[in-house]
Amino acid sequence: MIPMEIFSWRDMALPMMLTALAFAMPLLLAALGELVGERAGVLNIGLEGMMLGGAWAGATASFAAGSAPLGLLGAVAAGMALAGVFALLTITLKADAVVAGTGLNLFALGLTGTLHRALGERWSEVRSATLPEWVFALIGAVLVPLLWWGLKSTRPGLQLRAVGEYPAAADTAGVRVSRVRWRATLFNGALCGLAGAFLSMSHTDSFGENMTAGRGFIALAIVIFGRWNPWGALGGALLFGAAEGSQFFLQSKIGTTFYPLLLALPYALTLLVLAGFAGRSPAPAALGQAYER
Amino acid sequence: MPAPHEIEPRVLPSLLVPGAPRLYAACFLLFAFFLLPLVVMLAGRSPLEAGAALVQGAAGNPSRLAESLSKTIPLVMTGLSVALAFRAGFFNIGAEGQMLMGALAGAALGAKAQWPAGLVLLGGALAGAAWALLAGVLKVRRGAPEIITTIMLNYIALQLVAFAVQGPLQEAARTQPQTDVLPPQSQLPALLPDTNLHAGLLIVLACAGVCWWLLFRTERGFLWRAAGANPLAARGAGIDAGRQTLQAVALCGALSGLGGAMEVAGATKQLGMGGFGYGYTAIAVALLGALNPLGVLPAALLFGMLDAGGKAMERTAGVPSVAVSVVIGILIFALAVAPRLRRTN
Repeated sequence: MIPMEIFSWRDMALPMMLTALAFAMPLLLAALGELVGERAGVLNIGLEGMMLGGAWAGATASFAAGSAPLGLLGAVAAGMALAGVFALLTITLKADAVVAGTGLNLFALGLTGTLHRALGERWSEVRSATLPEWVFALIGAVLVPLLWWGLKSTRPGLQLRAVGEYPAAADTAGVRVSRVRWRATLFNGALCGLAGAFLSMSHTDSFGENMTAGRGFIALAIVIFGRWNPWGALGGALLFGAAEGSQFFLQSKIGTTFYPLLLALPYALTLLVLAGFAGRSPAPAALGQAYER
Repeated sequence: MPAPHEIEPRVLPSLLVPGAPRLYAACFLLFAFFLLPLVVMLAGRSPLEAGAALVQGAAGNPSRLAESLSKTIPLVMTGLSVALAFRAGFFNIGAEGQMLMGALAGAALGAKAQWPAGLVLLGGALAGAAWALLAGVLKVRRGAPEIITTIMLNYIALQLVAFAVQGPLQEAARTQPQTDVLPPQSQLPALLPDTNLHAGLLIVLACAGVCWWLLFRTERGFLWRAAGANPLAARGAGIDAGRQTLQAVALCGALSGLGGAMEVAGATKQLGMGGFGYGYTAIAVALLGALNPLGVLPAALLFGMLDAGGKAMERTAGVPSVAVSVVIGILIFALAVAPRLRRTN
């Protein structure tokens, strides 16, 4: 028999749910950004890199300026700058999206790692000005219905979806394909910057080399799992957040030897989800294809 | 059926593959190398000092050159793996995980079972192939994008290694998270005494030759390239594209896995925690090598020297070795915008 007190509301269930919610936040923000980009036909697998950029810039800017909102601004700017590089390569110069995205991840990993160590030596210890986690949860809670409505029922939303499904037709109808894709990509960068800021300014109070640890790729899977729908992305983010959060609660029960297997859980879950959902998913028709007139 | 030269999928610039626009590729390389000093200055260090440390560490004396060559070995294997998979239409970002599984199998067969080196390598290749096939089957049968599944398998492999070296495969002394040192019969012989350079160098040369021959001189390789260049057209021509992809994926996993086993049996001689990183550099190696197995060799040597030099730069000039990733990233950007590297779907 399992003693009931383990499952008491106050000591176990509520903290577990809050932890799941906290782990879901960066995944949700990054997935929402990628969702908007992909609905416009832009496949950006550089989420990981843009999140790292946001995490580093957020920690550094908030420390340097001594202000959390300014740090947040820096994180968004860094995410957008990296997204701009990606947009320039793939939308303007028509490079292969997967190759460019891979390059973006390595580039951001190296740049943030180098700068982090260089500044760490100069300032000894960079501690972020932190924000409470509910700030990010609030942003997510507002964005999900807003994006759902915006994509479904507004004129820019319709144009964005047209660009992702059939860019030639959208072009004929007077929609500027490249401009729409640029904007969607920059929006993605901004949200990934926020997702990174959550990691370095709220979840912890400092940046660490490669601190995203594959969350950008999990967010990519969440977009597929959520069938390119913001509500679906919310569901997926909560599921993965719960998988990640459960590690903290099971760690003491499972012992250190088996702990690495527990750490592998969210990644294994991603595989299962993709095996179950990827084939039947309504991906935008022009996803990942460069558009040339 | 079209003639082989008509389905050449993507022609990349390369320094060494004849016929490719060499000047173009050389310009990108120069650009990437001029960027490294900039990154070093960002890190607040002297570019001259760091540059000297890099060159000295990569090729300053015979033992440093041997170190560069020993770093080249896993890069050739993973580079071949990525190049072959790309040719067959499979974007293998999972060479890292396949290599880790090969290393894990090699460590189990070597340090634990004490089998001879040949079987250690075979076990590594099989483990890598199985790990890659997981992603291959998920793609072909379930439509799961390999870009995500291979990365997930990398992280899972990393945790499996962490579990193994703290649990079932941990050294007899049970102090460090690592396996015992492989017994002599499980090790690859050293080519130069007192260096990490091992007989795997000869194996990678053979692998590159065989891969080139398979890909460009056999019907099998032709079918792989056809399936990769245009799966729809291949299907129209009566080729079972999924089957071709799976064959190629199994081979590319075996190459990475063999690379992992060789790393354990030849260079490190035991398995510890943490990833190799070679699987990610391999993407740049494969692209710079123009997705040609023979082009992979010089490209891997270049990155092997960058790797060995980067580590030396970190030790003597205090520039973090992760700075090399910036250069690799920019090199990939440059190669991505190179003419005729376009997705054909």
